[in-house]
Amino acid sequence: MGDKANFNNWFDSNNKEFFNSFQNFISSYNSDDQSKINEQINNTMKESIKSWKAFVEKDNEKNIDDFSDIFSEILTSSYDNLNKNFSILNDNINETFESHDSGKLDAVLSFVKNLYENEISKVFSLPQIGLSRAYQEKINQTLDKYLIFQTSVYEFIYMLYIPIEQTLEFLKDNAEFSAGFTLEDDRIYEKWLTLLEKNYMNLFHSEKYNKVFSKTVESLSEFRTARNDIVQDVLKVFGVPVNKDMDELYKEIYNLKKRINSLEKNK
Amino acid sequence: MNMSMDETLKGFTNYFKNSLNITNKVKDLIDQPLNTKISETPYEVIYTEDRVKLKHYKVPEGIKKKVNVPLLVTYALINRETMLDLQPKRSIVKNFLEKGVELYMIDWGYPSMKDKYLTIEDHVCGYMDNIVDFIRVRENVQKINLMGICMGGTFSAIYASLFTDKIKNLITTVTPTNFDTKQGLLHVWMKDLNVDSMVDDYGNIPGDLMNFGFLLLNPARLMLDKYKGFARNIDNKPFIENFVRMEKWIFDSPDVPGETFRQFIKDLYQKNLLIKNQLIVGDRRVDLKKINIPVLNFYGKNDHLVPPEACDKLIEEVGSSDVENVCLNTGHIGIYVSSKYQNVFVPKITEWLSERDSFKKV
Repeated sequence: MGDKANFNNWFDSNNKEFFNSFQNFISSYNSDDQSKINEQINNTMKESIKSWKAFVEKDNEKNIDDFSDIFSEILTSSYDNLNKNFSILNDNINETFESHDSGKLDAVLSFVKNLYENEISKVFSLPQIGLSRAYQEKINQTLDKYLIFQTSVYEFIYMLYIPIEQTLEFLKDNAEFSAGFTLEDDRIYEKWLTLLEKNYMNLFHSEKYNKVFSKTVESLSEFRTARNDIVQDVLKVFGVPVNKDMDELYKEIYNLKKRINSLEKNK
Repeated sequence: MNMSMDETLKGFTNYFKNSLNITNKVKDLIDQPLNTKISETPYEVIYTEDRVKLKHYKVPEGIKKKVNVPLLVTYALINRETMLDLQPKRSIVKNFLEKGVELYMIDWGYPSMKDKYLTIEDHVCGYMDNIVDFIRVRENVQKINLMGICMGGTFSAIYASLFTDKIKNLITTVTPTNFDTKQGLLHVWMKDLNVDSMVDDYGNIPGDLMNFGFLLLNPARLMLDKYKGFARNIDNKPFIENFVRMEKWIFDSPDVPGETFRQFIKDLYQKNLLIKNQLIVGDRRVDLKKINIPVLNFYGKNDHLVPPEACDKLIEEVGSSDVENVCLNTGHIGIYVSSKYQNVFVPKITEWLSERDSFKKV
């Protein structure tokens, strides 16, 4: 038998079975007899399974066990592919680990940053599909922006720590300090503070600091924007006006006020 | 002698422990009430528009007016004008009144989200111009004197250029007009700031965020040494009262309307358009050469926020020949809160205005 004929046979018989079962079910439901209802449900289930089994065996000359084998084969193959991809990612991470200089804190921070930007963030950029595609994409973006912000903040905090570390070196080399000073004797403190201030000024004027500072401010804004986007989606479900709605309103009020003021001034 | 890091930290902790043994002193302090009120000089609010108010400070009875042309003070949108009346014994406002100078002062208020679209034009050609017109009508004069502080000075310079017929004398204090300098950290930091992402995200720029930025300008002094000084003077009641007053003012920071912030950073800090006479406000170009009135320009030699290089070019760029730069040996706030410099600042302005005080009634 050809494919089309097979399908038509299956479709007709299935329709017939379904229609009969549905009719029996409705009549038994009206009869208030619980055991009859149960019997009808069981029958319907059995008929459905029979239909599926017949459909699978008819055309492919395979029994139901073969069908589960096919399913398992698909799953195994998908898993293997996924595993292979993660293994590549894992190798990349290992490679980055091996190449970094673990002796210095700034090297560690730079390593974490590179690791995230070059490897981990790829996961959040995977295209999403399906009904919830847009929402999943927003969640991924927010996670991505949050982690970028976190790495920037760590780097920023570390930079702010550098002058403290440098001045501690000064204290380390100063014998007087070990004796302990009082408020009446501020010499070491003043020296240390002036040095700290100087080190901060040097840092703040450096190009590297400016880069990290700008990146931190920018990544915070980007994270907040992405997060607000999700919050707005949630609020919309409950009919709560969101920032976008309010902004439109503010803009309208702003423009209206400007027009009124201009009319009043020119009258 | 080389100490280990542990020993260093121990020594450091001991130092602070010894220095800050303040428990008993704090007990004495909390037993007596403190007066930490600010802005105590009486005033009347005589005009309001949206969030903006106009304060009027009258010369006390018995003191003769030394300057007849009304003086309008325009403060910045960052922090509040209460700085001019911070301490009863060190109040710029009180000093002016005692010298016979009546004051009008703009209180910009606290912007809310509905103010996020307000631009520099809305502040200068809107609120400021409405206030100037209100004072001109109230006082029955053609022109008034204008004094701007910091960003308020930049607004005042823009205003004086656009409304030359309404201003008699211009005083700018710690006012940035040339933004192309590396002397001040703000100028360095603002160059690469992605202001669009900030404004798009926040709407208005939060005052707390800006305060944090200001603290970062000098963490050693502003986050550490300042509070060590506080602890050290914990039994000094007047010191503590004034310290708390200053803290109240510093951290009373309204948000800045987003679009104004965006334009201020992009057109001024990043492109330096004002001094190049290329700044566009609304649909008008700001030409500093049009300022053909007397200009008195104050700035602080040790001002790290608005360094001398950011201030001192203004008088070369205006169209007037009656101009003067006054550089005081202090910082950004010192001009207003230090009694030493108040005693220079207020008399100088009073004399300068008084010498140029001829005026016409409308």
